[in-house]
Amino acid sequence: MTQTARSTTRGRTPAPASRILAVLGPILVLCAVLVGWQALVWLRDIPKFILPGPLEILRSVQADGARLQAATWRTVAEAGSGLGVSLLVGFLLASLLSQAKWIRASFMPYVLIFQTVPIIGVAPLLITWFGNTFSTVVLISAFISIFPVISNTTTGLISVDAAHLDLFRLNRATRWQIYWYLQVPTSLPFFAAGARIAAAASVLGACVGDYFVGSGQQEGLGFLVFQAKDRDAGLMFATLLVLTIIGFLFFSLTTALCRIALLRWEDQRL
Amino acid sequence: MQSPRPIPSPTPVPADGAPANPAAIVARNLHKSYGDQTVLRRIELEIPQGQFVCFLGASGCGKSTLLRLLAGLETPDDRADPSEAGTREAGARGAGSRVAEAPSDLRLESPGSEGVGPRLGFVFQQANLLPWRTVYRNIELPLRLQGVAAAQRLAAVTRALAQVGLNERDGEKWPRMLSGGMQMRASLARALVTAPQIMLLDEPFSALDEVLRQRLGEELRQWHRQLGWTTVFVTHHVSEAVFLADRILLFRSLAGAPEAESLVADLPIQFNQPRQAELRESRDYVEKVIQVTKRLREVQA
Repeated sequence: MTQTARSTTRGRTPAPASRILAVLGPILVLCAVLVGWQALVWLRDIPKFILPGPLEILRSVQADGARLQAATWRTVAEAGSGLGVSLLVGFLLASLLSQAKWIRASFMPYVLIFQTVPIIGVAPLLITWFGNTFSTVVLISAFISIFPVISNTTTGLISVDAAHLDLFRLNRATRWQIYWYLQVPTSLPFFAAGARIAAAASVLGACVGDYFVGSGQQEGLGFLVFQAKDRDAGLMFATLLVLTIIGFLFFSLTTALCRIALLRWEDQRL
Repeated sequence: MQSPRPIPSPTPVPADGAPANPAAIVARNLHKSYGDQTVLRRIELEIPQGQFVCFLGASGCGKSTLLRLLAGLETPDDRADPSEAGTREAGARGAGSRVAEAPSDLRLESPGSEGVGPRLGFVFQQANLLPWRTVYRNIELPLRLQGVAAAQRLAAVTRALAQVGLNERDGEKWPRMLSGGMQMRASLARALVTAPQIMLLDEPFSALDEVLRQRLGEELRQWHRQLGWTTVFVTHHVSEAVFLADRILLFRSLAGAPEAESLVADLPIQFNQPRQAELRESRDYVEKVIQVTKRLREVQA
C-alpha cells in the first residue's frame, strides 16, 4: 500500500537531468534569440523605430523605469482584480447554470453570444457608462476572462460520477449537500483549467482597458504601449515585454495554486 | 441541513436465518424495464430479518437492478412489460387473454423502523470513495449528511475503522494512497458507520484477488452475525455465494424469453460447521458448490 503511494510519487518526480534541462533549455533558447535579434539589427542596420534591438529596449527601460513601474503595478492590480471578479462571478453563474437542464438550455446560448461580443467595441461603451476609472478596466478585464470560468465550471458541476451521486441519494442528501459536498469538489479541476485560461485573458483585458481608459498619472501598460508607439519604440517593446511577463506570471501562479490545491487528492497533472 | 440526531446502536443479534423472524424485505410482483428491454419480471420475494441472501446469476440478469430497487435508487415499474400498457384493464374486462396482475409492492422493515423505514447500508462494486476527502472524512460522510453531531461522528467513525481492520493513520490518508483491498475496507466502514439494519452489497469484492476476497467474505459473514444485519449480497461467483449465504436466489436473463420470470430458484444453504475458512475445504461445501453450479448452468441453458 505504502509501496503504491511511493511509486506514484516517484513516477511524478522528474529525474535530476531532465529537471536541469527543463530550466536550462528555455534559458539557452532565450539567449540565442536575443543574440540573433541584436545581430540582425546591427548587421541589417534596421532603424530603431521599426525594430529596436534588445540593447535599445534595455536603454528605454533604464530611462523610463519609474513610469514603466507605475504602469506595471496599475495593470497588475487591474488584471488581478479582473481575474478575481471573473473567478468569483464565473463560479456563481456556473453554479446557477448547473442547477437544472432548463436553466442551461435557456441561458447557455446567451453566455456563448456574450463570449463572441468583440471587447474592443464594448470597451468604449463601458467607459461611457462607468467612467474613466480603475473599476471600468477591472470590468473589461473580467468581461474578457469570465467565459472559460463559466464554461469549464458548469461542465465540472454537472460531471458528477453516477456512483457518487447514488451514495448521496442513499443518504437522502439535500440539494444543497449534493452541491457543496459533491458538485463543487468534482468541479474544482475543471474550474482550475478555466482559471488558468482566465488568468492569461485577464491581463489582455486589463491591457485593452488601459488602452481606452488610461492617461497621465492613471496610465496602465496598455496606454503606455499606445503612447510609446510613435515616440519611443524601445519603450513600446519594453512595455510589451512586461505585459508578456505579467501574463506568463499570472498563468504560472494560477497553475501553481491550482496544483497545490488539487494535487493533495488528485493524481492528475494540470 | 437536518437537525442532529444520535447514532443508533446496532440491533441485537438474531438467530441465523431463523424462520420465525418477521420479514425485513417483502417484494410482490416487481418489474423493471429500461426502454423496451425488460430487466426484471414478476419478482416475488420475502427475506426474514437476520438472513444472509445472495442474488446469483450471470451478468445482465437484473440482480444488481433488484438490489438498487431495494435501496430505493430505482423505482419499480407498474407493469411487467412496456408493451403491455393497458393489459390490466383489458384483462379485467375479459377482452384480453391475460389475467389482471396483482399490484406491485415493495416493503423494507426492521424492528423500531415503523414509519421511517430501516437504516440501510449499501456497498458498491467499486470502493466509490470521494478522492477529495480523506478516508476518515469519507467514512464520516453519511453521518454528516444525516446531521449527526461532530462528537458522535468521531466515535462512530473510530468504531467503524476498527471494525473493518483499519487504524487511525489509515483514516488520515487519501483514498489513492490505499490498496484496492483497503479501499474496499474503507467503503465497508462507510456503509456500517450508520449502524444499518439491512446491508445491501453489489458485487463488492469482484475487483479483488481471490485470497483477499475470501478473507473479506469471512469477515463480512462475522459482521452480519455480530451486528444483526439482514444482508443481501449480489455476486456471480458460485463459491462465494455458497460460502456466504443462508439462501441463494438464482436469476435468469430475460433476453429472448418474453414470458419468463427473473427469479428461477430459491436454494437454502446450510452447513453443520461455522462459516470460517475451513468450511471451504469440507466435502459438504464442495458438493454444494457443484450442485449450485449445475443448477445455474441449467438455468442459463
